[in-house]
Amino acid sequence: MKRKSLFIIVFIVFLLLATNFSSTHAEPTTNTPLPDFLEKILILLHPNASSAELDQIRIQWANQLRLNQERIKSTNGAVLHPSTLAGSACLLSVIYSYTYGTGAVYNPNAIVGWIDYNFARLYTPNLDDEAFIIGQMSSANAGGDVYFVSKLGPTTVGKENMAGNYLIGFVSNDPYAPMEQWIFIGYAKITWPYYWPKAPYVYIGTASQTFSYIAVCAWAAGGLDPYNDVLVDCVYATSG
Amino acid sequence: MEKAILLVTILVLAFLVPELAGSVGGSEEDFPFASSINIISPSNSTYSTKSLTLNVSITALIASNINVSMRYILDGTYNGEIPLTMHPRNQSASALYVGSTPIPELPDGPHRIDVYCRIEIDSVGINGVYYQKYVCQRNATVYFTVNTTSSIAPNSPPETQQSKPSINPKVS
Repeated sequence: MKRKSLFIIVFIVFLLLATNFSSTHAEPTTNTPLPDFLEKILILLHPNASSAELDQIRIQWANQLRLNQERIKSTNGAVLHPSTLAGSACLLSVIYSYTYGTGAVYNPNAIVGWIDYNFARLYTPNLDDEAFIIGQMSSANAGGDVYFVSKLGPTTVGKENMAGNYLIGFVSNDPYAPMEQWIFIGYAKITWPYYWPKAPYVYIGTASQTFSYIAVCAWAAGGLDPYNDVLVDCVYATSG
Repeated sequence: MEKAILLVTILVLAFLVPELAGSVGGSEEDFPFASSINIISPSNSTYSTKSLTLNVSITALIASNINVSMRYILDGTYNGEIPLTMHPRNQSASALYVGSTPIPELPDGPHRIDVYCRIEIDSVGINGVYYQKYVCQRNATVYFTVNTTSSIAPNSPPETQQSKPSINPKVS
């Protein structure tokens, strides 16, 4: 009898927890404050915006965050917590972009937005294609861990398991230096099982020195499926 | 108790060592930004000369903290370096590395060359993990035959002007 009661209690507690978990994720989060790093990016991106304008953008971003969380939940539930990030440097403006082969960069100047609102699309459908943007950070002394807010492009959504879809990061203090003088900080596969869709951003690498400029690159290389179609919405460094 | 502490220490070190000392990847999945090695010559055929030149190429990412080097092993014994020349592409983060080196004189018979490319990267993040040094390798193999006694020479590459190291590699 005791064992049965215990089982019922555990079952009820489990149900309550499960229900609470679901309702938490189902609620609109427009009133939820943004994580610290997004608040900082918001201020950096819109230094002259009024508080009403900032609130409007906050609501958009929070809604987008909620959509991302729902997608995360629908896939594997592995959620990283952006609030653990702290810093003040993000990519403010794209200086130039270029492509090699049949690679393409779409709307590069919109990279300072947020997922689904503004993004740069790097598209490299064939072997040896490259797509590039070179951008200036908001701080001349950006450094530390570098994250890209990113996701799959329109032709690769639903193909999370494919071999391609990589983003590469380089940093420099001279945007016009030849690439062999840039510092390669790392890359991330924007597909399962690494980050996306676990989180709306990916860790790209850690800059070993301060930098003012960043190169975001997609290159279709190697004998694997080289196809890349990725979106970059924001570039962020944890210390500056 | 002491054994348990020792075991935990070993486990912790086992997790830490790859982070501190670097990592070696063995496939393109480990580092997709280098192509396969292309062995331009010799190819899988029969040569009527003992003097051959090894020509290889690979395309790889370029940066100040990426170092690409190549070596080859002839018939499982002779180990030689392949000097590389980098050819950057205009407005590109990748470059074509071309290597050329004379092979030691070969006796008649079948031969094998294994080419290894080592890519070393300092301070890099790879799929969410930071490495102080990351090393990955590519390799490729070519089989060919030297037959200087036959009158038919289907493949006779031009003689190289470079001096050749002299060894007597074993014929596998």
